[in-house]
Amino acid sequence: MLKTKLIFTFILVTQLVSSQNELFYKSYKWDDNPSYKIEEGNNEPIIALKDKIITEFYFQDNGLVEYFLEHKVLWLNSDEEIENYNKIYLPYSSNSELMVNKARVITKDGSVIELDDSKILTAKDEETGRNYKFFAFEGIGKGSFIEYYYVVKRYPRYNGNRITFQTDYSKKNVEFDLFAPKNLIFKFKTYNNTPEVEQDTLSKNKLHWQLKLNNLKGLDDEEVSAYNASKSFVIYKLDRNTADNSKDISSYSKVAQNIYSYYYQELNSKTQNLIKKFVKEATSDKELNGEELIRKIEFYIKTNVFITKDDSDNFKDLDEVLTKKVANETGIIKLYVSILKSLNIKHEIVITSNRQELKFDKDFEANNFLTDFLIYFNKTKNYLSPTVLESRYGFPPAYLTDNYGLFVSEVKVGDFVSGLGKIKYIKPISADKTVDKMIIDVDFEKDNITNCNVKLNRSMSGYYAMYFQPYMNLINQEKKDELIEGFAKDINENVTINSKEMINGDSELFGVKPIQFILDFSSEAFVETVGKKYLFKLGDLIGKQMQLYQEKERVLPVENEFTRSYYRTLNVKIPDGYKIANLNDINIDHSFIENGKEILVFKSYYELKNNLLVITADEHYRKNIIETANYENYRTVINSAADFNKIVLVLEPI
Amino acid sequence: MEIFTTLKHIKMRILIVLFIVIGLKGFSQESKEFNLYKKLYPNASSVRLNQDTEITIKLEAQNINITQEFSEEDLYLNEGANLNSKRALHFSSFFELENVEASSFTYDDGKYKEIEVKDFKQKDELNQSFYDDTKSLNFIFPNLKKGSKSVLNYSENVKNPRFLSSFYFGDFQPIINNKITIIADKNINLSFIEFNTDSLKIDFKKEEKRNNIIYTWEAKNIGEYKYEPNTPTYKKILPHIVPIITSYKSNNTNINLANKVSDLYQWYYSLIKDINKEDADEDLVKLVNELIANKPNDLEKVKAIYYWTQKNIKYIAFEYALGGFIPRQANEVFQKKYGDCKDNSSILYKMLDIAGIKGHLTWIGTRSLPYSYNQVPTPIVDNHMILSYIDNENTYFLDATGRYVPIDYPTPFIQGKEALISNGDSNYIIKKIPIVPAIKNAVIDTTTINLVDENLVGKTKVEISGYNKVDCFNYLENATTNDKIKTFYNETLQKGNNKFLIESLTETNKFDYEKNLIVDYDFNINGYAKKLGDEIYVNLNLILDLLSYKTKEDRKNEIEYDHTNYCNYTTVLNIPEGYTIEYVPSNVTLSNNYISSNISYKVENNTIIYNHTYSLNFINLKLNEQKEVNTLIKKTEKAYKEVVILKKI
Repeated sequence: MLKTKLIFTFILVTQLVSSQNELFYKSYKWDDNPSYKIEEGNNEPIIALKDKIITEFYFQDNGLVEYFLEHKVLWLNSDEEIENYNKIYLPYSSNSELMVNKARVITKDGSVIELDDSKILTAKDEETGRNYKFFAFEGIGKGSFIEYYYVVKRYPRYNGNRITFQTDYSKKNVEFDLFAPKNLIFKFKTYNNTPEVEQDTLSKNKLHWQLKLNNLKGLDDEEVSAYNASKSFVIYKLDRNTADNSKDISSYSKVAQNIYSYYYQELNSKTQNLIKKFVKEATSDKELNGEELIRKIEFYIKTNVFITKDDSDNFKDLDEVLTKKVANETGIIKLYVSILKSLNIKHEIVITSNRQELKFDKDFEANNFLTDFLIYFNKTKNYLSPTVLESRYGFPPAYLTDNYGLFVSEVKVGDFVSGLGKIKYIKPISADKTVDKMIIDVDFEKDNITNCNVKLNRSMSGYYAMYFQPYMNLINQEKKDELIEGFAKDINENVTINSKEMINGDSELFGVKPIQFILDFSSEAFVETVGKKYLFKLGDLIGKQMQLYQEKERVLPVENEFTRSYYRTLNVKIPDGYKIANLNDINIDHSFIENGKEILVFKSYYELKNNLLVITADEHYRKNIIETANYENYRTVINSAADFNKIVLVLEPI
Repeated sequence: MEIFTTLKHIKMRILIVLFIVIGLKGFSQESKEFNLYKKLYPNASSVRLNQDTEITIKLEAQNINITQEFSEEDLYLNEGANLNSKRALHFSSFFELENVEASSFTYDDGKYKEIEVKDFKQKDELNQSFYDDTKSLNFIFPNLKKGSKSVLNYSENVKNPRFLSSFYFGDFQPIINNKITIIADKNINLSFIEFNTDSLKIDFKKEEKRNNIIYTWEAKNIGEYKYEPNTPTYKKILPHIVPIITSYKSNNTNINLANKVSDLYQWYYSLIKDINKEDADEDLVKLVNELIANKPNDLEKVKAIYYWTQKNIKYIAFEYALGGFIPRQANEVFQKKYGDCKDNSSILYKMLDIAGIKGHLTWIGTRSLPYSYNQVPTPIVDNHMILSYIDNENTYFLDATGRYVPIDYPTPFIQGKEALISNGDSNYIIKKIPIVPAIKNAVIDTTTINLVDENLVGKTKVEISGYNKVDCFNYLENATTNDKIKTFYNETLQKGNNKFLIESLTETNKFDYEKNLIVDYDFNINGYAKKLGDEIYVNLNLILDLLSYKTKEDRKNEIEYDHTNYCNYTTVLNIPEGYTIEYVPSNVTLSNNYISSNISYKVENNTIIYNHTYSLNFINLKLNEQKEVNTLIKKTEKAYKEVVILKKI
């Protein structure tokens, strides 16, 4: 995630307003005699009666600071919720200060138990620089209210900040207020059906914007959804300073310039030599080009450079990173781009957001969208994630794709070199790049039809292969065997494996060739005897499938991680003297078509060539996001695969 | 779509594996050591070349001062070396960390080059309990790659002589040289208790030098131990020695520290003797009187108090220094409505006291500690506190840290363990907590099914008791909507296959501490039966969860389960009109010392009555026991394949 390093040193020099008002929090108080009420008979496990956030930007000590207040009242009506909320951790860091911290419990019978300051504990973490103030509420019983508020003075987050209003329980009295000096104009944008923030025109000595929601319904977390991105929230940013007439203060053009000048510093000859040495080691001194070179560099860095959460300067220092091979996020990005630049590989830094958490809004420039880094290669149009070890070139973390992002490219104006920012769409990796393919040959033992011999040939590419192919170099033979056998044993525990083989198991082949597992096994687990007939559990051979049989009301759109395809061919040799009585059960055909394109597909069918039954069962998910209105189509396709998994063929004597 | 979890599972497996495995390719430049150990331990990702521990125990001005010095040298054998970069040393008010030195050594141009670690960062650890004094010192070994080495030296002061650390001979990586030295003042008496060392060759020496006795242990070339899921505590597997300072001589008198259980008890008692001396909070007295009003006997009173505590005192642990051993005052716990195990025991004790009933504070080691009190009479033997209530010949073990635990069940994680029950200033009782028999953890399912074409439509009454019920309640607490409740039961009570769908359900005795949970529901499994020509095939083995108890053939370690289990499934199939029974599978009766499993079919009044009963009478299984259990399950599995055939009349 993007931390302090992106908070740019924009200094608001002019302090226009000489007579600033008193800070809001100095007169802020909670009710001395609280009388919170919940109507009799309410069975909700938890309700928020107050959820207030006030933030004030304020000139102080020659700079801008922010005073941030959060005030909550929660009614806790279940053991579970009491346990969830009886401990509170307050955020603060080495450059912030907790000004006020008050907490109390109001029991069902109205008695108030206030927590005194001595009960507030502190924990420090030198590594991340994150510190905590934390406390446990005392005297909570079922039906109690907990109330707390705190004010933290911190480095101002004015370039873009998100306040999320919604959660999985209902809230009453949700309020948001922002105060600023008269010369600082903020801009706001609300999301997911949240009313707009309005300016309080009556406010005199400072600017004041506000939003109040009397009731906000809870939003349930649904599987395969972008839950956090779907909650009600607001984003605000400083837009203008009327004192010096500066505009677009939080715009991406400044970010792009800053990013460029920070990551592409002029390198001295010592560093250049270290880079040369590093590359030499990474490539084993071989002459490599294009994608081969990119993959090699990535493989070497991801195997040899340790990424730490420690934000200290020495882990950002390129020389240190090159020699000691320990870097933090900033250091590792510097390392990649410096190497790529020195190798003249054309690329751009891309900064985006995780679409599950927050969809990048191309129409509202704010720094809180800039949380995750990618590197874009202009020539191949592929991405690389410098910070995520599990991701490899061509397959960036999928939740960062299918989303917009800020692309920072180099511009030259005469001798002047700078960064240019452009918002572009990061296309999802198409389904044909993530393929799970199975070819299964089934043969029944002549004198013992209950025993099948199965040859499984399974290959995987893209995001599916990324689960293991890149790490094959770290796995010993014992574990490798276990992994390969797992493909048969996941179908059924009771298989006897006769032979097994892995093809393209070299970790450096990820993205180049699919990893392939070929197993030969036999088992009696797939056939049951019924009198003179046999029940052959054909569907079992494709493995257990995800299902959505239970009917539930769907609220949020489906949000898949990545698009993908499954190809399955099953060649079944029908034993002599038998035929299959229910071939029609094999036929399943469900698809969802949008704008003339087959988006979601499950199709299974067969062909009988003498005594060879050839079954095809293909499945495609060519779009990540499926609107709620089309949820039933998605469900049908998912369940079709699960239905196929239950197909039982009846073998009967001719 | 294939279930994602399968792949996630593989991914996880690999991530775990990363720490235990090797790589394949080689670079030309490798040290001799590397080549040697790579060959010797092809499955290891690293070896510990040297592990040197030196413990000095001094007697100074009647104080026992203990310093422990550790030295560790590791060699990395594969490309995953880098994953070992980050290290943390933990310390607390009982273990004070002193000098720490760390260096990486990279092999380049035929020699090892040292890079010293300079940055050490301290951190308050928040993950063990809500508040304690555990801190960690964090650092990163730079430049680790295949063939690199790391060396770590540190020393610590042990602030209480009862907390001498155990020392281990084996680990999840091979250890080439492992040496432990204890240099103790000769007025200090020590004992050494060995665990899992039988198959290991350890050289032990004891010599006297000046005023000291020097003990040394040396072991060489100890292969790596395998990590497996559901293995009991590693203390039950890894070879180790627990050193104990039993007594010492000071001013010519012998002082017992941890010679016998009575010494430990004496110390424990000194920590609890002063609690709850103040008058009980008026409201607490009032509450207890309300709780016990109209209760016919003491046991009923204890129940009322125990269940109130489980429901109302939430678990939050503060463990600062000796605070980790001293229960808080009952009044304080009552006002705060939270506490740890000791605090829960304290308030239970006081509430019983108010009711005129005697409770006994009780120390106990959970199943994660394999020691007995007589073997190891030091604080490392236990980690938990409960309250015992003795009612004539019955002892009840009250552990209010959980919820929904009935009075006649201990918490599952102390089954089979020894309890040290306080009984006054110098008396105590050691009692074994019983293992709850399978029949008390029962799932009894009675189902009637009808065939509608190939669909199975049925009605079930299932009764769930014991720990199975507690597990359900713990899940159900989270299920706050009807959809979630249904999802929970659809998954937990699944029959046939995952097309099993509950249509409607009613729950009886939900969240009741003593009565069994009963769920009545209607369900269907579409397409479960097979209709062909004149025949219908239906497999009445609708629940196959016994199969999950089958362990892997190549498993190396004992396996541990939370509790015993008893299941009884009866399914009555109504023969559809116009059909007759063509084939009914035969009955199966199987049993051994650990498990029994029966399947029976009975034809009665145009129905087939199927019953499958099994009982798992163990919470731990040794390797040979696993084999016996597996054999029996395999036989049952064969019977699971048997299908009923109905034929058109």
